[in-house]
Amino acid sequence: MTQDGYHISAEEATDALRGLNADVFRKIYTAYSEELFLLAYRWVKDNDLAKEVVQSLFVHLWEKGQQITITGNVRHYLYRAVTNRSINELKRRSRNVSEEALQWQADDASLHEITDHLLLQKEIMRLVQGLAPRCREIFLLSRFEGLEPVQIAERLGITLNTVYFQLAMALKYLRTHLLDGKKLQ
Amino acid sequence: MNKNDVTEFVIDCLTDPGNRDKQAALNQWLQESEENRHLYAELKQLWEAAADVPPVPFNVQEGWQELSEQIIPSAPVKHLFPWKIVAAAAVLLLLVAGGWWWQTSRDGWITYTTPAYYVDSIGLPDGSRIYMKAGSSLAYRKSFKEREVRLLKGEAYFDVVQDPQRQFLVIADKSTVKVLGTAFNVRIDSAYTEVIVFEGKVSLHSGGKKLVLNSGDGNLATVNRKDDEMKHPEGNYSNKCAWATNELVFENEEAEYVAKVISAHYHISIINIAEDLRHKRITLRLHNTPRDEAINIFGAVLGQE
Repeated sequence: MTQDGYHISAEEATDALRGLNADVFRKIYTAYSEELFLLAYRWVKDNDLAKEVVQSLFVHLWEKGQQITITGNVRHYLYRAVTNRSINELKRRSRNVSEEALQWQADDASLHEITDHLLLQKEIMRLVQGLAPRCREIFLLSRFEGLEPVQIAERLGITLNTVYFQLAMALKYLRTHLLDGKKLQ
Repeated sequence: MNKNDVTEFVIDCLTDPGNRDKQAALNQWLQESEENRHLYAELKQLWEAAADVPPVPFNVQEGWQELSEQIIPSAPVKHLFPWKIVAAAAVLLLLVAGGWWWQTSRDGWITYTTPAYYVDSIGLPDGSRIYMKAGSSLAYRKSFKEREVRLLKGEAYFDVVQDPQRQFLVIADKSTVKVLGTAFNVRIDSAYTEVIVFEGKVSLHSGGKKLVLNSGDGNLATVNRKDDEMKHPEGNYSNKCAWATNELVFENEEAEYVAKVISAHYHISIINIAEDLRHKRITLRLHNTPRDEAINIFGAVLGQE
Protein backbone atom coordinates (compact mmCIF):
# COMPACT_ATOMS: atom_id res chain seq x y z
CA MET A 1 0.00 0.00 0.00
CA THR A 2 1.31 3.40 -0.92
CA GLN A 3 1.04 6.32 1.50
CA ASP A 4 -0.29 8.70 -1.09
CA GLY A 5 -4.05 8.59 -1.65
CA TYR A 6 -3.65 9.38 -5.35
CA HIS A 7 -2.00 6.04 -5.97
CA ILE A 8 -4.65 3.83 -4.46
CA SER A 9 -5.83 1.46 -7.15
CA ALA A 10 -9.43 0.55 -7.90
CA GLU A 11 -8.88 -2.90 -6.34
CA GLU A 12 -7.37 -1.45 -3.19
CA ALA A 13 -10.21 1.06 -2.95
CA THR A 14 -12.85 -1.65 -3.40
CA ASP A 15 -11.19 -3.83 -0.76
CA ALA A 16 -11.06 -0.88 1.61
CA LEU A 17 -14.79 -0.25 1.23
CA ARG A 18 -15.63 -3.92 1.70
CA GLY A 19 -13.46 -4.18 4.77
CA LEU A 20 -14.42 -0.76 6.17
CA ASN A 21 -10.75 0.18 6.15
CA ALA A 22 -10.96 3.67 7.55
CA ASP A 23 -7.33 4.47 6.92
CA VAL A 24 -7.53 3.94 3.19
CA PHE A 25 -10.94 5.59 3.09
CA ARG A 26 -9.48 8.67 4.74
CA LYS A 27 -6.60 8.77 2.26
CA ILE A 28 -9.01 8.65 -0.64
CA TYR A 29 -11.04 11.45 0.89
CA THR A 30 -7.99 13.56 1.62
CA ALA A 31 -6.63 13.10 -1.88
CA TYR A 32 -9.78 13.75 -3.89
CA SER A 33 -12.40 15.63 -1.86
CA GLU A 34 -11.27 19.11 -2.92
CA GLU A 35 -11.22 18.28 -6.62
CA LEU A 36 -14.62 16.66 -6.27
CA PHE A 37 -15.93 19.76 -4.53
CA LEU A 38 -14.68 21.93 -7.39
CA LEU A 39 -16.26 19.59 -9.91
CA ALA A 40 -19.57 19.54 -8.03
CA TYR A 41 -19.44 23.33 -7.82
CA ARG A 42 -18.94 23.51 -11.55
CA TRP A 43 -22.27 21.77 -12.02
CA VAL A 44 -24.39 23.07 -9.16
CA LYS A 45 -22.92 26.61 -8.75
CA ASP A 46 -23.76 26.55 -5.07
CA ASN A 47 -21.14 26.28 -2.37
CA ASP A 48 -23.21 24.48 0.27
CA LEU A 49 -24.85 22.13 -2.17
CA ALA A 50 -21.49 21.24 -3.75
CA LYS A 51 -20.13 20.34 -0.36
CA GLU A 52 -23.23 18.32 0.46
CA VAL A 53 -22.87 16.38 -2.78
CA VAL A 54 -19.28 15.44 -1.96
CA GLN A 55 -20.05 14.50 1.64
CA SER A 56 -23.08 12.42 0.72
CA LEU A 57 -21.07 10.58 -1.93
CA PHE A 58 -18.54 9.52 0.69
CA VAL A 59 -21.26 8.59 3.18
CA HIS A 60 -22.77 6.43 0.45
CA LEU A 61 -19.41 4.80 -0.35
CA TRP A 62 -18.86 3.97 3.28
CA GLU A 63 -22.35 2.73 4.06
CA LYS A 64 -22.98 0.84 0.84
CA GLY A 65 -19.38 -0.29 0.44
CA GLN A 66 -20.33 -3.97 0.47
CA GLN A 67 -22.17 -3.62 -2.82
CA ILE A 68 -19.74 -1.30 -4.56
CA THR A 69 -17.04 -2.30 -7.00
CA ILE A 70 -14.79 0.46 -8.20
CA THR A 71 -13.44 -0.18 -11.66
CA GLY A 72 -10.89 1.59 -13.83
CA ASN A 73 -9.34 4.73 -12.41
CA VAL A 74 -10.41 5.78 -8.91
CA ARG A 75 -10.33 9.48 -9.77
CA HIS A 76 -12.52 9.01 -12.82
CA TYR A 77 -14.92 6.78 -10.93
CA LEU A 78 -15.33 9.52 -8.31
CA TYR A 79 -15.68 12.25 -10.95
CA ARG A 80 -18.45 10.30 -12.58
CA ALA A 81 -20.19 9.60 -9.28
CA VAL A 82 -20.05 13.22 -8.19
CA THR A 83 -21.34 14.40 -11.57
CA ASN A 84 -24.27 11.98 -11.45
CA ARG A 85 -25.08 13.07 -7.93
CA SER A 86 -24.88 16.74 -8.84
CA ILE A 87 -27.26 16.27 -11.73
CA ASN A 88 -29.68 14.27 -9.58
CA GLU A 89 -29.64 16.96 -6.90
CA LEU A 90 -30.31 19.68 -9.48
CA LYS A 91 -33.21 17.69 -10.89
CA ARG A 92 -34.59 16.98 -7.43
CA ARG A 93 -34.59 20.71 -6.70
CA SER A 94 -36.04 21.44 -10.14
CA ARG A 95 -33.03 23.55 -10.97
CA ASN A 96 -31.61 23.91 -14.41
CA VAL A 97 -29.11 21.25 -15.50
CA SER A 98 -26.57 22.67 -17.95
CA GLU A 99 -26.02 21.09 -21.36
CA GLU A 100 -22.36 20.80 -20.47
CA ALA A 101 -23.11 18.63 -17.45
CA LEU A 102 -25.31 16.27 -19.47
CA GLN A 103 -22.80 16.01 -22.30
CA TRP A 104 -20.00 15.38 -19.94
CA GLN A 105 -22.02 12.72 -18.14
CA ALA A 106 -22.27 10.87 -21.44
CA ASP A 107 -18.67 11.33 -22.52
CA ASP A 108 -15.72 9.66 -20.83
CA ALA A 109 -13.10 11.35 -22.96
CA SER A 110 -13.41 14.69 -21.21
CA LEU A 111 -12.14 13.15 -17.98
CA HIS A 112 -8.48 13.90 -18.50
CA GLU A 113 -9.09 17.40 -19.68
CA ILE A 114 -11.15 18.22 -16.63
CA THR A 115 -8.57 16.84 -14.20
CA ASP A 116 -5.99 19.43 -15.27
CA HIS A 117 -8.57 22.16 -15.06
CA LEU A 118 -9.60 21.20 -11.53
CA LEU A 119 -6.02 20.89 -10.33
CA LEU A 120 -5.33 24.33 -11.76
CA GLN A 121 -8.33 25.71 -9.89
CA LYS A 122 -7.17 24.06 -6.71
CA GLU A 123 -3.81 25.81 -7.07
CA ILE A 124 -5.47 29.13 -7.86
CA MET A 125 -7.61 28.92 -4.73
CA ARG A 126 -4.50 28.26 -2.67
CA LEU A 127 -2.41 31.00 -4.29
CA VAL A 128 -5.10 33.67 -4.12
CA GLN A 129 -4.61 33.64 -0.34
CA GLY A 130 -1.09 34.96 -0.90
CA LEU A 131 -2.09 38.06 -2.87
CA ALA A 132 -1.90 41.48 -1.23
CA PRO A 133 -5.32 42.28 0.32
CA ARG A 134 -6.35 45.01 -2.14
CA CYS A 135 -5.16 42.99 -5.09
CA ARG A 136 -7.03 39.91 -3.84
CA GLU A 137 -10.22 41.86 -3.30
CA ILE A 138 -10.19 43.19 -6.85
CA PHE A 139 -9.31 39.81 -8.30
CA LEU A 140 -12.10 38.10 -6.36
CA LEU A 141 -14.65 40.68 -7.47
CA SER A 142 -13.61 40.17 -11.05
CA ARG A 143 -13.28 36.42 -11.16
CA PHE A 144 -15.52 34.96 -8.45
CA GLU A 145 -18.27 37.52 -8.60
CA GLY A 146 -17.94 38.13 -12.30
CA LEU A 147 -17.90 41.94 -12.14
CA GLU A 148 -16.61 43.91 -15.14
CA PRO A 149 -13.57 46.14 -14.52
CA VAL A 150 -15.79 49.23 -14.81
CA GLN A 151 -18.16 47.91 -12.14
CA ILE A 152 -15.25 47.15 -9.82
CA ALA A 153 -13.88 50.67 -10.26
CA GLU A 154 -17.31 52.09 -9.39
CA ARG A 155 -17.90 49.83 -6.44
CA LEU A 156 -14.50 50.53 -4.86
CA GLY A 157 -14.29 54.16 -5.94
CA ILE A 158 -10.98 53.72 -7.75
CA THR A 159 -9.85 54.42 -11.30
CA LEU A 160 -10.25 51.92 -14.09
CA ASN A 161 -6.48 51.97 -14.57
CA THR A 162 -5.96 50.82 -11.00
CA VAL A 163 -8.33 47.92 -11.55
CA TYR A 164 -6.42 46.79 -14.64
CA PHE A 165 -3.13 47.26 -12.88
CA GLN A 166 -4.20 45.15 -9.87
CA LEU A 167 -5.73 42.44 -12.05
CA ALA A 168 -2.49 42.24 -14.00
CA MET A 169 -0.54 42.00 -10.75
CA ALA A 170 -2.77 39.14 -9.63
CA LEU A 171 -2.43 37.22 -12.87
CA LYS A 172 1.30 37.65 -12.94
CA TYR A 173 1.58 36.49 -9.36
CA LEU A 174 -0.49 33.40 -10.07
CA ARG A 175 1.41 32.62 -13.23
CA THR A 176 4.81 32.92 -11.53
CA HIS A 177 3.84 30.87 -8.50
CA LEU A 178 1.77 28.22 -10.18
CA LEU A 179 3.21 24.80 -9.58
CA ASP A 180 6.34 26.49 -8.28
CA GLY A 181 7.16 28.19 -11.50
CA LYS A 182 6.59 25.22 -13.76
CA LYS A 183 5.07 26.12 -17.09
CA LEU A 184 1.39 25.50 -17.50
CA GLN A 185 0.32 22.58 -19.64
CA MET B 1 5.13 47.37 -23.79
CA ASN B 2 6.63 46.19 -20.55
CA LYS B 3 5.43 43.04 -18.80
CA ASN B 4 2.72 44.69 -16.73
CA ASP B 5 1.35 46.58 -19.70
CA VAL B 6 1.20 43.35 -21.66
CA THR B 7 -0.81 41.61 -18.95
CA GLU B 8 -3.13 44.60 -18.64
CA PHE B 9 -3.53 44.65 -22.40
CA VAL B 10 -4.43 40.94 -22.41
CA ILE B 11 -6.95 41.43 -19.59
CA ASP B 12 -8.44 44.38 -21.43
CA CYS B 13 -8.95 42.17 -24.50
CA LEU B 14 -10.33 39.26 -22.46
CA THR B 15 -12.88 41.43 -20.66
CA ASP B 16 -14.00 43.23 -23.79
CA PRO B 17 -14.32 40.55 -26.49
CA GLY B 18 -16.83 42.61 -28.48
CA ASN B 19 -14.44 45.48 -29.14
CA ARG B 20 -13.06 45.09 -32.66
CA ASP B 21 -10.20 47.55 -32.30
CA LYS B 22 -8.90 45.70 -29.27
CA GLN B 23 -9.28 42.29 -30.93
CA ALA B 24 -7.44 43.57 -33.99
CA ALA B 25 -4.61 44.89 -31.85
CA LEU B 26 -4.54 41.58 -30.02
CA ASN B 27 -4.34 39.59 -33.26
CA GLN B 28 -1.52 41.73 -34.48
CA TRP B 29 0.36 41.28 -31.24
CA LEU B 30 -0.19 37.51 -31.37
CA GLN B 31 1.22 37.43 -34.92
CA GLU B 32 4.41 39.01 -33.69
CA SER B 33 5.93 36.03 -31.94
CA GLU B 34 5.51 32.51 -30.65
CA GLU B 35 6.36 33.84 -27.19
CA ASN B 36 3.39 36.19 -27.30
CA ARG B 37 1.05 33.41 -28.31
CA HIS B 38 2.32 31.23 -25.49
CA LEU B 39 1.96 33.98 -22.90
CA TYR B 40 -1.53 34.75 -24.11
CA ALA B 41 -2.57 31.09 -23.89
CA GLU B 42 -1.33 30.85 -20.31
CA LEU B 43 -2.97 34.05 -19.15
CA LYS B 44 -6.23 33.14 -20.82
CA GLN B 45 -6.22 29.69 -19.25
CA LEU B 46 -5.64 31.19 -15.81
CA TRP B 47 -8.23 33.89 -16.33
CA GLU B 48 -10.87 31.40 -17.35
CA ALA B 49 -10.04 28.79 -14.73
CA ALA B 50 -10.35 31.42 -12.00
CA ALA B 51 -13.82 32.37 -13.20
CA ASP B 52 -15.42 29.07 -12.13
CA VAL B 53 -13.78 28.92 -8.75
CA PRO B 54 -16.17 28.83 -5.78
CA PRO B 55 -16.08 31.83 -3.43
CA VAL B 56 -15.27 29.75 -0.35
CA PRO B 57 -12.36 27.31 -0.31
CA PHE B 58 -12.94 23.70 0.65
CA ASN B 59 -11.37 22.69 3.94
CA VAL B 60 -10.40 19.04 3.60
CA GLN B 61 -9.67 18.55 7.30
CA GLU B 62 -12.95 20.04 8.42
CA GLY B 63 -14.76 18.05 5.77
CA TRP B 64 -13.20 14.86 7.01
CA GLN B 65 -14.06 15.71 10.59
CA GLU B 66 -17.71 16.21 9.68
CA LEU B 67 -17.74 13.10 7.57
CA SER B 68 -16.25 10.91 10.27
CA GLU B 69 -18.91 12.10 12.67
CA GLN B 70 -21.58 11.37 10.13
CA ILE B 71 -20.60 7.85 9.12
CA ILE B 72 -20.49 6.63 12.70
CA PRO B 73 -23.40 6.73 15.15
CA SER B 74 -23.17 10.06 16.89
CA ALA B 75 -24.44 9.01 20.32
CA PRO B 76 -21.62 9.20 22.82
CA VAL B 77 -20.20 5.78 23.52
CA LYS B 78 -19.84 5.67 27.25
CA HIS B 79 -16.53 4.21 28.12
CA LEU B 80 -16.07 2.76 31.52
CA PHE B 81 -13.53 5.20 32.81
CA PRO B 82 -10.74 4.69 30.30
CA TRP B 83 -8.39 6.36 32.72
CA LYS B 84 -8.70 3.24 34.80
CA ILE B 85 -7.64 1.14 31.88
CA VAL B 86 -4.72 3.43 31.24
CA ALA B 87 -3.88 3.27 34.93
CA ALA B 88 -4.04 -0.52 34.83
CA ALA B 89 -1.66 -0.55 31.90
CA ALA B 90 0.60 1.79 33.82
CA VAL B 91 0.55 -0.57 36.81
CA LEU B 92 1.61 -3.43 34.56
CA LEU B 93 4.44 -1.32 33.29
CA LEU B 94 5.40 -0.51 36.85
CA LEU B 95 5.72 -4.16 37.74
CA VAL B 96 8.25 -4.43 35.00
CA ALA B 97 10.05 -1.15 35.48
CA GLY B 98 10.18 -1.18 39.24
CA GLY B 99 9.75 1.37 41.97
CA TRP B 100 12.13 3.99 40.69
CA TRP B 101 9.85 4.77 37.82
CA TRP B 102 6.95 5.07 40.22
CA GLN B 103 8.75 7.62 42.33
CA THR B 104 9.55 9.91 39.47
CA SER B 105 6.40 9.82 37.44
CA ARG B 106 3.52 8.69 39.60
CA ASP B 107 1.71 11.89 38.87
CA GLY B 108 2.45 11.93 35.18
CA TRP B 109 0.16 13.22 32.50
CA ILE B 110 -2.46 10.95 31.06
CA THR B 111 -3.27 11.66 27.46
CA TYR B 112 -6.51 10.41 26.03
CA THR B 113 -7.33 10.53 22.32
CA THR B 114 -10.71 9.53 20.94
CA PRO B 115 -10.79 7.09 18.02
CA ALA B 116 -11.11 8.71 14.62
CA TYR B 117 -14.79 7.81 14.31
CA TYR B 118 -16.41 8.04 17.70
CA VAL B 119 -17.72 10.67 19.97
CA ASP B 120 -16.53 9.41 23.33
CA SER B 121 -16.85 10.42 26.93
CA ILE B 122 -14.54 10.01 29.86
CA GLY B 123 -15.15 10.37 33.57
CA LEU B 124 -12.63 12.31 35.61
CA PRO B 125 -11.60 11.41 39.17
CA ASP B 126 -13.63 14.36 40.56
CA GLY B 127 -16.83 13.08 38.95
CA SER B 128 -16.84 15.59 36.09
CA ARG B 129 -17.44 14.21 32.65
CA ILE B 130 -15.90 15.18 29.33
CA TYR B 131 -17.48 14.42 25.96
CA MET B 132 -14.97 14.41 23.14
CA LYS B 133 -15.56 14.60 19.42
CA ALA B 134 -13.89 12.09 17.13
CA GLY B 135 -10.16 12.60 16.79
CA SER B 136 -9.88 14.91 19.80
CA SER B 137 -7.15 14.69 22.36
CA LEU B 138 -6.69 15.90 25.93
CA ALA B 139 -4.41 15.38 28.90
CA TYR B 140 -4.62 15.65 32.69
CA ARG B 141 -2.52 14.67 35.68
CA LYS B 142 -3.26 11.24 37.00
CA SER B 143 -3.86 12.37 40.60
CA PHE B 144 -6.11 15.21 39.44
CA LYS B 145 -5.19 17.09 42.62
CA GLU B 146 -5.41 20.25 40.60
CA ARG B 147 -8.53 20.16 38.49
CA GLU B 148 -6.75 20.93 35.24
CA VAL B 149 -7.31 19.54 31.76
CA ARG B 150 -5.40 20.41 28.63
CA LEU B 151 -7.30 20.23 25.37
CA LEU B 152 -4.64 19.35 22.83
CA LYS B 153 -6.74 18.91 19.73
CA GLY B 154 -10.32 18.96 18.52
CA GLU B 155 -13.46 19.69 20.49
CA ALA B 156 -14.72 18.71 23.93
CA TYR B 157 -17.74 19.45 26.08
CA PHE B 158 -17.11 19.68 29.82
CA ASP B 159 -19.76 18.89 32.41
CA VAL B 160 -18.02 20.02 35.56
CA VAL B 161 -19.03 19.00 39.07
CA GLN B 162 -19.37 21.89 41.56
CA ASP B 163 -16.50 22.29 43.97
CA PRO B 164 -16.27 25.76 45.51
CA GLN B 165 -12.84 24.93 46.95
CA ARG B 166 -11.18 23.96 43.72
CA GLN B 167 -11.60 25.73 40.44
CA PHE B 168 -11.53 23.69 37.27
CA LEU B 169 -9.17 24.81 34.49
CA VAL B 170 -9.23 23.97 30.83
CA ILE B 171 -6.15 25.04 28.95
CA ALA B 172 -6.48 25.20 25.19
CA ASP B 173 -3.51 26.54 23.28
CA LYS B 174 -2.74 29.92 24.86
CA SER B 175 -6.19 30.32 26.43
CA THR B 176 -7.40 29.22 29.83
CA VAL B 177 -11.01 28.70 30.87
CA LYS B 178 -11.65 28.91 34.63
CA VAL B 179 -14.81 27.58 36.25
CA LEU B 180 -16.24 26.32 39.51
CA GLY B 181 -19.10 24.15 38.34
CA THR B 182 -20.76 24.50 34.98
CA ALA B 183 -21.00 23.03 31.49
CA PHE B 184 -19.23 24.39 28.46
CA ASN B 185 -17.72 23.47 25.11
CA VAL B 186 -14.15 24.15 23.97
CA ARG B 187 -12.91 23.68 20.43
CA ILE B 188 -9.53 24.27 18.82
CA ASP B 189 -9.04 24.46 15.11
CA SER B 190 -6.11 25.71 13.09
CA ALA B 191 -7.03 29.37 13.52
CA TYR B 192 -9.22 29.78 16.61
CA THR B 193 -9.93 28.57 20.09
CA GLU B 194 -13.67 28.74 20.72
CA VAL B 195 -15.57 28.56 24.01
CA ILE B 196 -19.34 28.23 24.43
CA VAL B 197 -21.03 28.21 27.83
CA PHE B 198 -24.03 25.92 28.06
CA GLU B 199 -24.78 26.34 31.74
CA GLY B 200 -23.50 28.69 34.45
CA LYS B 201 -20.53 30.91 33.73
CA VAL B 202 -16.82 30.71 33.04
CA SER B 203 -13.99 33.16 32.77
CA LEU B 204 -11.76 33.02 29.74
CA HIS B 205 -8.15 34.22 29.99
CA SER B 206 -5.94 34.73 26.98
CA GLY B 207 -3.07 37.02 26.09
CA GLY B 208 -3.43 38.98 29.35
CA LYS B 209 -7.12 39.65 28.73
CA LYS B 210 -10.06 38.27 30.63
CA LEU B 211 -13.65 37.79 29.55
CA VAL B 212 -16.54 36.46 31.62
CA LEU B 213 -19.00 34.39 29.65
CA ASN B 214 -22.50 33.57 30.84
CA SER B 215 -24.92 31.04 29.40
CA GLY B 216 -27.69 32.43 27.24
CA ASP B 217 -27.21 35.37 24.90
CA GLY B 218 -23.54 36.10 24.20
CA ASN B 219 -22.33 32.72 25.39
CA LEU B 220 -19.63 32.28 22.75
CA ALA B 221 -16.14 33.71 22.50
CA THR B 222 -13.30 33.02 20.10
CA VAL B 223 -9.61 33.68 20.48
CA ASN B 224 -7.45 34.06 17.41
CA ARG B 225 -4.51 31.70 17.91
CA LYS B 226 -2.13 33.99 16.05
CA ASP B 227 -2.71 37.40 17.60
CA ASP B 228 -4.83 36.54 20.67
CA GLU B 229 -7.66 38.73 19.45
CA MET B 230 -10.85 37.93 21.38
CA LYS B 231 -14.27 38.10 19.80
CA HIS B 232 -17.54 37.99 21.68
CA PRO B 233 -20.46 38.02 19.25
CA GLU B 234 -24.13 38.36 20.17
CA GLY B 235 -26.49 35.42 20.10
CA ASN B 236 -27.03 32.14 21.87
CA TYR B 237 -24.83 29.35 20.57
CA SER B 238 -26.00 26.56 22.88
CA ASN B 239 -27.17 24.45 19.95
CA LYS B 240 -23.54 24.03 18.95
CA CYS B 241 -23.19 21.81 22.04
CA ALA B 242 -26.05 19.54 20.96
CA TRP B 243 -23.61 16.85 19.84
CA ALA B 244 -22.89 16.30 23.56
CA THR B 245 -26.03 17.57 25.31
CA ASN B 246 -28.63 16.21 22.87
CA GLU B 247 -30.55 19.37 23.46
CA LEU B 248 -31.73 21.76 20.77
CA VAL B 249 -33.57 24.94 21.65
CA PHE B 250 -35.01 27.41 19.17
CA GLU B 251 -36.66 30.61 20.20
CA ASN B 252 -38.50 32.57 17.59
CA GLU B 253 -36.28 31.25 14.77
CA GLU B 254 -37.12 30.95 11.07
CA ALA B 255 -38.38 27.48 10.15
CA GLU B 256 -35.83 27.16 7.36
CA TYR B 257 -32.97 27.68 9.80
CA VAL B 258 -34.49 25.30 12.35
CA ALA B 259 -34.82 22.61 9.67
CA LYS B 260 -31.17 23.03 8.74
CA VAL B 261 -29.92 22.67 12.31
CA ILE B 262 -32.17 19.67 13.05
CA SER B 263 -31.13 17.95 9.83
CA ALA B 264 -27.46 18.45 10.60
CA HIS B 265 -27.89 17.20 14.16
CA TYR B 266 -29.60 13.97 13.09
CA HIS B 267 -27.41 13.54 10.01
CA ILE B 268 -30.33 13.45 7.61
CA SER B 269 -30.83 15.25 4.34
CA ILE B 270 -32.47 18.64 4.78
CA ILE B 271 -36.12 18.45 5.79
CA ASN B 272 -38.35 19.92 3.09
CA ILE B 273 -40.58 22.80 4.09
CA ALA B 274 -43.48 24.23 2.14
CA GLU B 275 -42.52 27.51 0.45
CA ASP B 276 -44.97 29.64 2.43
CA LEU B 277 -43.78 28.29 5.80
CA ARG B 278 -40.05 28.82 5.31
CA HIS B 279 -39.89 32.14 7.07
CA LYS B 280 -42.42 31.34 9.76
CA ARG B 281 -40.89 31.88 13.19
CA ILE B 282 -41.17 29.02 15.63
CA THR B 283 -40.15 28.15 19.16
CA LEU B 284 -39.19 24.59 19.87
CA ARG B 285 -37.24 22.53 22.37
CA LEU B 286 -35.92 19.03 21.80
CA HIS B 287 -34.26 17.15 24.58
CA ASN B 288 -32.95 13.64 24.05
CA THR B 289 -35.56 13.27 21.34
CA PRO B 290 -35.23 10.35 18.91
CA ARG B 291 -34.91 11.36 15.27
CA ASP B 292 -38.34 10.42 13.95
CA GLU B 293 -40.08 11.96 16.91
CA ALA B 294 -38.07 15.15 16.46
CA ILE B 295 -39.14 15.38 12.83
CA ASN B 296 -42.78 14.86 13.84
CA ILE B 297 -42.61 17.51 16.54
CA PHE B 298 -41.04 19.95 14.11
CA GLY B 299 -43.78 19.22 11.58
CA ALA B 300 -46.50 19.70 14.19
CA VAL B 301 -45.09 22.99 15.49
CA LEU B 302 -44.72 24.23 11.95
CA GLY B 303 -48.27 23.18 11.15
CA GLN B 304 -47.45 21.17 8.06
CA GLU B 305 -48.16 17.53 7.39
